[in-house]
Amino acid sequence: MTDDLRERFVSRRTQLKTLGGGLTVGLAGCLGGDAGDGGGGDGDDGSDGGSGGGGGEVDEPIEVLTWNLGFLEESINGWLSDYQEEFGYEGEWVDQPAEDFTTYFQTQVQSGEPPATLDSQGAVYVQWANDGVLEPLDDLVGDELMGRFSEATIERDKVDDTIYRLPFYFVSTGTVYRKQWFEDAGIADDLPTSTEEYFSAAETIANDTDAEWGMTLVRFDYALWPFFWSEGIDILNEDNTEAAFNTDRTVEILARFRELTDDGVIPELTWTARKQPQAQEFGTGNTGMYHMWLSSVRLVENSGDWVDGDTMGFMPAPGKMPAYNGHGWSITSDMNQATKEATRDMISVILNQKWQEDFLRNTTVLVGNNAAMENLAQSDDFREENPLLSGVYDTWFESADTAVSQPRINQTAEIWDTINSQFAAAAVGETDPEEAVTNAEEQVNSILQ
Amino acid sequence: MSISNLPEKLRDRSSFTLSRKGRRSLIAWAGLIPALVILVTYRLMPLFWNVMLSFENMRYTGETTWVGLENYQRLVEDPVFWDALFNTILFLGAVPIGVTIALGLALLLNKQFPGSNVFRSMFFLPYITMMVAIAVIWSYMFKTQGGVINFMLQEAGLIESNIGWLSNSWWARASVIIVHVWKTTGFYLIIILAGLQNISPSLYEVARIDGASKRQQFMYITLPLLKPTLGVCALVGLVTSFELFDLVQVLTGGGPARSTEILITWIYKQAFEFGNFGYSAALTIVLFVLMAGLSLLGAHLQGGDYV
Repeated sequence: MTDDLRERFVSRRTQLKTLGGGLTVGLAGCLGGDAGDGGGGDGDDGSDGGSGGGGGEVDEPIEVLTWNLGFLEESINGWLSDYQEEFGYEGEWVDQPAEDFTTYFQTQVQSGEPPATLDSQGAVYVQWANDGVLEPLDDLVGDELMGRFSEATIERDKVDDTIYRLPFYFVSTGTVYRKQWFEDAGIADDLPTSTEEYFSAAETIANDTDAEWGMTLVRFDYALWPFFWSEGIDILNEDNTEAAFNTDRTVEILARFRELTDDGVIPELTWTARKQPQAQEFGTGNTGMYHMWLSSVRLVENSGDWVDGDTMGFMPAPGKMPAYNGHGWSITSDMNQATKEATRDMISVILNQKWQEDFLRNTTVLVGNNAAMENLAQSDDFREENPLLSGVYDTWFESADTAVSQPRINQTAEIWDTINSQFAAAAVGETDPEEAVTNAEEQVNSILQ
Repeated sequence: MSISNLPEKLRDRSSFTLSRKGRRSLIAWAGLIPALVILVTYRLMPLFWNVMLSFENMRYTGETTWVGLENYQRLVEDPVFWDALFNTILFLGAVPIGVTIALGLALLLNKQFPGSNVFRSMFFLPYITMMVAIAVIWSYMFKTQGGVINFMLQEAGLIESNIGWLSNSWWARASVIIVHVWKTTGFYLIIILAGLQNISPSLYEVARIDGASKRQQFMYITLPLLKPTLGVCALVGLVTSFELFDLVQVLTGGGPARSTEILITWIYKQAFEFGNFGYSAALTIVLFVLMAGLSLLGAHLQGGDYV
């Protein structure tokens, strides 16, 4: 189709949609309904087969706010042009770096000009959902779009059983290890699976091989908790109203972390740094294993000459219960129905197999679209060219059903900040493990009040 | 009284005619208005808004709910607030340390010798270097195992076992102060050098003729005449010490066990990581009062030069 033809096609299509929208508004008016509140007339109950059928005119351009995706300009322009070609509406892309994202979005919301859709990380969207900034998607999204994702993935992003965002990409924790140290320690065929096995493998490597350290790990965004989840220790009770982690086993695990740090099995920087120093320590090749967000695989690769598909292995987090942290697309609520539907269509384009595969090829994360994930993971060419990413995918598939996400409540970040601070202090010997757990419990309960 | 009843002399003046004093006032106000607009828009209004917000809870939509003194009550009960307040005040200790070192260096560098300008530039360089970069480099130097500082101290025979610079509460606090002193000393140095060069050499000549020793010259000429300069250093140092946000965030993240958390980092976390805008506003008021109080105290001790 030439540009000229496309323009004429788009123009006619837009006109038809506007006419359709007007008719629906009129009909809704005759029936006494409120076209702006769910009068979407695109066929079935929230299908995803074309927008602009009702609820006023589409307010163009559809603004797409992304979280730290400035490096993906070419692909994102592709999203917008595909969207315009398929649905006839114009999109506009704005990116914000992670540290500015929430303030930027908040400013937009408070000035009455929120973006139509935004990509948010972790549980930050929960407060927005609870404050009514985001649109519930249950009735807006149809079977085709929902069918692209696994139920577990959708479930992890729900807030009080309501869908407020669709899975875009996610990361999970897993462990990378230097095969040489495991072979030297005689445990290459007996990889650790439980928390206690992790500890004992780390001790064996530190004591019986030339490796300096047995293990290091990252803690941010609940990444420490697989060591506790795998022992049946939850952070909060079922209804998220009280801390549930103050158990004898929690104190034991924390005491073991402290012991291993004292004994030089775990480097102290594990408890004082965020991410980079741990990756670099492991990258130098003197550490047995590294429990990390698997998306850091390139950081590890760039930190050590020895790192390749043959020398570095992957294994699931303790108990195959990795921490899960997702990104997803939400729709803001302050728009008419036609614009919401048009925005849903934009999301539908972004999350189709083509663009999700493109996203996988450009990053080290995992995506929500099952077909894209499977297609790439099963591609021999891709596996051959990307042995480390293949390791990431395989590790994820091994523990996908048992991955655990952070609590979906307003206080998620504050709770982790408290626990992390107390536990890290105990691990470096600043406080007694039992006291740290009790303090953390008291503070978390105070936050939840 | 109507205009027609006014004496002729006064009546001749149109309503737009101003006296000389009036004209001067008008010109002065016209000159002041841009600054006042900026002051009111970017200082006073946000401050007023912040005071209001400290008595409210705010949602992301901007909707607020009046909660009275609840945020201040929370502040009293929040153990992290007290730690942060303590650390904020403790880190002010970097100011006298930095100013004292700078004064010593300035006295040395206040003489012309080959390479004196190079030394001045070297000392000033940390001040203009980005704090985040500085904090990252120092965090590697402070590493307990394999860090260059512990290595050097051990090689020099000053310590037997590694110091947990970033893992021990007090050493972590010391680390923050060390880096802050290192960064700001160069700035104080330049200011003090300028102050020293403003002191007339004839005063020292007279003192020497009168038989004053070097120490007496320093105590009775240099130090009193440097008082305003040292006051400026103290005020600037005070403000920068309250704003150690990037250093603390990168070097220690506020840890271990909140031992290096300061008010400004706790305010940021409460507002932008936890979404507690009202509580964050209450914390900001405390910081503001503390800063204003200490600044006024400093100015008072200086003899009211800045009030």
